Amino acid sequence: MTGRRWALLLFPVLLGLGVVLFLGLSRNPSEIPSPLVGKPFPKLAGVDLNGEPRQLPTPGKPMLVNVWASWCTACSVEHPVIVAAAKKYSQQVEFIGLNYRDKQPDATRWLSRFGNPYAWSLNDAQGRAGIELGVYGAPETYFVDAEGVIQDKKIGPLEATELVNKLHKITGITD
Amino acid sequence: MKNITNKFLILLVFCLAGVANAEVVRETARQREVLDIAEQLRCAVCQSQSVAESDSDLANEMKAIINERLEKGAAADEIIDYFVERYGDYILMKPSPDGPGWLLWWLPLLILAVVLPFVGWQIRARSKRFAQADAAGLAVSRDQQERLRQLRDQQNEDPRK
Repeated sequence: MTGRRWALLLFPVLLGLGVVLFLGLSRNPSEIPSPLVGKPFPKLAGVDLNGEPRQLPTPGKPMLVNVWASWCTACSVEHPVIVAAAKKYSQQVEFIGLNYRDKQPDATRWLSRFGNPYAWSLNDAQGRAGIELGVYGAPETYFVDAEGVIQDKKIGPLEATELVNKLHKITGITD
Repeated sequence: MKNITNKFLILLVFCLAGVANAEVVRETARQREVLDIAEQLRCAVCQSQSVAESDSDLANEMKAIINERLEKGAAADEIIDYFVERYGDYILMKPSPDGPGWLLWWLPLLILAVVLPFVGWQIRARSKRFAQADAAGLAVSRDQQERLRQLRDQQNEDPRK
């Protein structure tokens, strides 16, 4: 008698647990929200792929920082999307690359082969700038507004509509 | 006896072979310090390994950063905070008890606090029921217990068993 009552009590608890665990299955454990969203973009200094000294963030203009590398296959999948967006939005948004853990000759060859959408790419052969930004791997993209605050971040390759939606967040342009 | 000695000798040879070929690992105090901190940090690209255990590029770079910061005189907490600021609580091997992580730490105690009164109540209810049954003469009496024991003993002595 009491056993049955306990079972009745236990059933919703187990059901709830089951639902929670089942929902957990569909979540991607490699997708982690960045604590840097809503915070100012960290100050980074270094050289670009041509050896020019460069600093981040670039003030006064919204900025897209795309982490890429020639060894990264997902980056070459994503690249045409970035190239197309840069053609359309480079007036309003500064497209910056962060060449992550790459070799400079490989990186320049990759850009001349697939097109260079970036104003410049920071040479981060060691991955130090990446750690400053909390980068897990390439590709990763940061959306920074004109005040230098990170408004959004994407881990993994961007798709065209997603990229445009996130660009709207930092530009206020809606088209 | 001789057989056992031989087996033991063979075993000993195998055990000592490992020692003979082992590399001598010398660890400086600083290296130990770096690893102590790295053990508390999750290697972001290898899911369930700590930075200390991992040999991935990212983990090695993180170890290099820990080392540099220690050399500059930073405290372990400061170094861990540096990574948490960039990667979030996720980077910690043990979730922080602040924020949503508190649930992980307190849930077992909470469950215990909820379940214990129920268990106590059940025990009391059962013993009460038994006392009532006893009073009503429904429980097994002493004589009956004795008779049961005899029957059981008889069965145990049964040659068929």
